[in-house]
Amino acid sequence: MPFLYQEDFVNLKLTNCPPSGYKPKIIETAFRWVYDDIDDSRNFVSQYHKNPKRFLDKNEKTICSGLALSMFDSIGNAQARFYELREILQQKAYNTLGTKIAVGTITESDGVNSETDENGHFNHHLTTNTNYNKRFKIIESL
Amino acid sequence: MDDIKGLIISKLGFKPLKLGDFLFHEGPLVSHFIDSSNSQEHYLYKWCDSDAHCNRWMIAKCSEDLLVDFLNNKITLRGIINANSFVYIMDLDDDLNEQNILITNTQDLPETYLPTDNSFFNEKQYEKYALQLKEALVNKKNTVNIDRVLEELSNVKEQQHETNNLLNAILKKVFPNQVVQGQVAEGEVPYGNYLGNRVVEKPIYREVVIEKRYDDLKMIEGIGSKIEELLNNAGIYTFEQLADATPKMIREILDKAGSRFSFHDPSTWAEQSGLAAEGKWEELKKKQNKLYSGK
Repeated sequence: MPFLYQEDFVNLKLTNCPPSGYKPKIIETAFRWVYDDIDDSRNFVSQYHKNPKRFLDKNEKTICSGLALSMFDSIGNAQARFYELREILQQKAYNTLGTKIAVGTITESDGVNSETDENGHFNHHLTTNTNYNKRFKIIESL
Repeated sequence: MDDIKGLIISKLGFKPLKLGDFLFHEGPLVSHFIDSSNSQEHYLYKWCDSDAHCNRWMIAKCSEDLLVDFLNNKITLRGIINANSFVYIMDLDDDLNEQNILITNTQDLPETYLPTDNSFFNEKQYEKYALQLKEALVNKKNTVNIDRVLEELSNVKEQQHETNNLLNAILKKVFPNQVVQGQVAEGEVPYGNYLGNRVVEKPIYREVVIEKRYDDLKMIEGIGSKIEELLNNAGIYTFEQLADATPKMIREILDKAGSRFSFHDPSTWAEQSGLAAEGKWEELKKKQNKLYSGK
C-alpha cells in the first residue's frame, strides 16, 4: 500500500520521511485523540493537512512529524499527555487537540510506526484506505 | 478567534530565530526563539488560537535568568508571561506569513490564552530540546561574563599584570563569600553548543570560567565530615581560609552548631591549615603525630 501522503514526501523533497527506523507492526490497541463525532474530518488527518497548519518553521523533521498521526499505547498515557498540554492551552486544548479518546487496532498494512516513547506516544505514517473512522471507536471523554 | 485589544504594528521588534520546541504535538505548541541580533534575548512562542486561515501565537519575552528559573521549576510558564507588561500576539498563515501583529497589555489577554497556574516545566513531557537547553543554560550560569568582571576592574587598586592573577583578584571582589578560581576562555559563542546547528552567527566570546575550590579540611586533625560541613557553611572551604581564621571565630561556628560540638578544641587547626596551605605535608604529619588529637 502506498503512503497516504506519498505525494507530499516527494513534492516537499523530504529525504527521510517516514524516517528509516519506522516499522510496520500490529498494535492491538492504539489510542488517539479525536473530536466528538468519529466521522469528524479532522480526526485522522495529519497536522500538515489541517487548515490552518500549526507550524513555526518548515524543517524536514517538523514537516515529516506533521505528516504523521499521533497515537498512544494506553488510555492512561493518552490522558496524561492531554492533561499536561491542557495546563498550557486551557480550554483551547479541546479545539486544537480533540475532545475524546478513541481506540482501534493498527495492522502491518496500515503504515509504519516510530518507537513508542517513555510517555507511550508514537508517530504513525498511514497508508491509503485505512478507514480509521470505521475502525476506531470512541471510548472516553477528555 | 477572540478580539484582542492592542496596538497593531507592522513587524516584530526583534529578529526571530527559532531554536527549538518545548512542547510539540503533531506541530509546535510552545517554542523557543532568540533575537538573532541579540542572542541574550529569549522569546517563547505559545500557541493560543486558530481560525480557518491562521494560527495565533503569543510571544513573550523572557530573560535568561527567568528561563533558567522556569527550567528549574521555580516559576511557571504563566509566570514568565505575566512578568511582561506587554506581549506580542501574531497570526500566522499556512505559509508562515505574518497576517496581524499586535502589542497587547498582558492584563488584557483572555484567560484562555494563558497557561494555568500549574504550568510548570515537566521534564517527562517536554521535548528533549528543552532538557538540552536546561543543561546548557545551567552550565552557562556557572560562568561569569567578562563584562561584569571588567566592571570590577576599576575598583581594584593593586594592578597585576598576569591576566589570571588579576582575574582572581577581581573574582575575590565579585564573590567575596566564595573561593573561586578563574580562567579567561575564548571560543565560539556557547550557544552553538546547545542550539544545534541552526545558529547563523558564531561570534567569538570571552568569558571567565570559574569553579569553586574546596580543600579536604578533614586532613586537619580534629575535623571530621560534620565539622567540615559547618566550616563550609560558614564560607571556609580552603586551608588558606582556615589558617586565617582565629580560634575565636572557629569557636563561634562550633558553638552555634550546638552543644555536641562545644568540646572540640580548634586551637591547633589554624596552624595545621597553614602547613597544609603551604604544601608542607611532612611537617604537618609530624605535627599531627605529636598531637594526641587536635580536639
